Amino acid sequence: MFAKGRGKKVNQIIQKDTDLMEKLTILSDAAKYDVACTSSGVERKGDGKHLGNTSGCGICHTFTGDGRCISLLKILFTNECIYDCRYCVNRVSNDVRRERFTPEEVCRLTIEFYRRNYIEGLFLSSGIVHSPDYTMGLLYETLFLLRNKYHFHGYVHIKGIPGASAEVVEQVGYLADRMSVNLELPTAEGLRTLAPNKVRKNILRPMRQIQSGIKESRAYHGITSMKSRVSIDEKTYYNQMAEIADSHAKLSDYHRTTGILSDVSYGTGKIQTAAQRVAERDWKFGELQNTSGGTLAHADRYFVPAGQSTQMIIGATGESDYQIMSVSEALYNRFDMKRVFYSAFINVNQDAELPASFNGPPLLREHRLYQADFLLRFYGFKADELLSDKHPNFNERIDPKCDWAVHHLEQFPVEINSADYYTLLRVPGIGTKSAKRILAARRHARLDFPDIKKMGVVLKRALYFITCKGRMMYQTKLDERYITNHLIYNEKPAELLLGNGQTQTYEQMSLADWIPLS
Amino acid sequence: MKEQLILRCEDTLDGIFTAIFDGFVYKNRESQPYEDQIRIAVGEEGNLQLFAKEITVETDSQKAAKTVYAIRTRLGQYVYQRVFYALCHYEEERASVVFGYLVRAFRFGIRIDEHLADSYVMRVMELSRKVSNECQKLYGFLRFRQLDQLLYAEFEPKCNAIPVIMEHFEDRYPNENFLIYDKKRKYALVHPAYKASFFVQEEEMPDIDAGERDEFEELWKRYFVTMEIKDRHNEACQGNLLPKWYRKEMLEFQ
Repeated sequence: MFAKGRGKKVNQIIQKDTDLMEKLTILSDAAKYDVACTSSGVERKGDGKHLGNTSGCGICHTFTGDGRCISLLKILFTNECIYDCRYCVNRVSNDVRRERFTPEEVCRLTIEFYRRNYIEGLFLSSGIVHSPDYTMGLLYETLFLLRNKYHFHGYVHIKGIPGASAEVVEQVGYLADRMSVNLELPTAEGLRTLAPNKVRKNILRPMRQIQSGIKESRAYHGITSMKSRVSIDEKTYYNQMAEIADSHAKLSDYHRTTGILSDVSYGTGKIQTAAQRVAERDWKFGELQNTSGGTLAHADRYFVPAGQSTQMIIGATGESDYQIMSVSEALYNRFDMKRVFYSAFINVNQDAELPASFNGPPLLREHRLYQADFLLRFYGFKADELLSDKHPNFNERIDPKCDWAVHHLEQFPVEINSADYYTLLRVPGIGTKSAKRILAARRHARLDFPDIKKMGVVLKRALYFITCKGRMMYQTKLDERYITNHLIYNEKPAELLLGNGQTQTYEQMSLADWIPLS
Repeated sequence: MKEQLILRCEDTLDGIFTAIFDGFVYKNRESQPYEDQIRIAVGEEGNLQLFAKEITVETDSQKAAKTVYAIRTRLGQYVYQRVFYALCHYEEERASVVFGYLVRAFRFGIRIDEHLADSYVMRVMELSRKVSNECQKLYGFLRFRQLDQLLYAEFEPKCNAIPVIMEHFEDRYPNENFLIYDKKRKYALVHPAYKASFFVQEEEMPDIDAGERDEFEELWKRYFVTMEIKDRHNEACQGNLLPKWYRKEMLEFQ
């Protein structure tokens, strides 16, 4: 199946006999723009004989000067590539030095780094040599060697090469912990112009295959839920879970009454929300056939136990945040993604037709997208609540949750001692952990501000939106502009400074302030 | 206020568990309602207190084992882990706080952690959270060096980390001889391949010959530098996630 072939030699010179140091330098430099470096999602104890185990929450081994974590040995198998994607350093038209590891070299690096506790495992990706299938075959060969000759039981993340055949994807899936196929760009239109060799179908097909493979393998092993970690925390008690489940039902009702979720075709996977329409118009996820994941050829093993992820480049084409969030939401709902990663565009090739980044990559935008992404996954928000056609981009000055809250003041203040789980989660300054602590603690005592502060609630954000025992912390106005200004002032005092060193949070007193709010 | 009773014990987990055992004996002798008047002081000597009776506790591994057994069977593994982590903290008051926590736990039962509004429960949660956070980082930040016979790691944790992290590394490297040395507390964990590991004090430690850096250490240093995306340089973020004091023993920062 994986016949040896010779890669096309299109101005790609491969030096013979370069030492490992140079290869590592070149092939890690070429891989670093891939975002995901997580080692989470699967908890596997060691077998008592061989090297390696994995930890469910993932372990970061160090942090580089840009603040990103190194968890896995992130390298390309080779930076030779026959494709010509505009945004990529390794595109065929770039005149850079090309290198290729041998499978043995990758294994030795992984094992020796792992023994010294530098890394959690391997993240192997590759430029495309010869054909997608041939490349995927090389990755398989390496992984097979690592698992079966070196008996490595640590974490392995493998990139799925778009266009690779179903057989080889399945084989890799039984050996890897996580697989990811990159969506590359948030719109199909962008993909056509910037990555002409990558076809929408070739990306979505392996994604769907991996999804069904995971589903079938999990069903075979008796695990039914695909999203086990969203609301179930082993340490939480059952009645708390029941409380959360009740709260979730209320949340769905709320989404229906506000018209965000239309009830027409619930559960059939048809269009329910406006955001879904946006994603569908562009990517046509619905056209994709449901495939079977595979043959359960290795029924004793889990198929991609840590789930699949994907990533897209932000800011290379002119898409809005609303489009991006719609696509993410669709990916979570229709492909059971563990994560969608966003990568702020850096014009590495100085390509004249792509936006130049004079002020550096759009990091703030990336940050806002990640914040919103967490709201989708853990906080019960829908993309349509955060953004809309009329309001397509995130506020630069305050985070998406605060932004939502100040626009929905009619739902606040919320009483800490009685509000349900998802209502608490909608308060800025309360996260999943502190919300669960509140649920547990209020069964035994009436909570007050000092108590919830110790539980991890960020009062400087939350105080405008909550009451404890029926009282607010200070006398504040429930006024959109007033609260917005204070929230901005909390994060970045300098932004609100006026010329004379005063801040806008103080405003002209008016008679209206003295009239009690009813 | 009632008279304080201070139990002074040795600074080891066994010592503290013995003191907890004795503490419950003294507490149960009291005829009046208990008002947290028993404290446990760890280590050689502290400030002597006025109006307090001090008793020195001899470490007794049998009493310690009984305490651990009682916690694990009556309060469950989860509470035991809380207590265990909290006792690995460097805070001087840790033993007293844990004692107060256990008094409440035996009264309220296994779901003691829901009583977060209680100051002792809150304190234990804070202590154990600190230990757990530091150890979570150390899982990643600990660096081994390849020496002739074994993999060698040394570090200077704020909390007493070895008892917490040892299980993880034993599970990860069953086929390796390795040694983890705590420079601050001057003891080490030795793990011979495929065998049970044990502790040694500094005096009994084998001589460590550091030697030259090997090939893979150089490769790692290079890899670390190349992985940074220069356009995104952000030292503040790096500093938040990897505070400087961890970097002393980390190869890539040397």
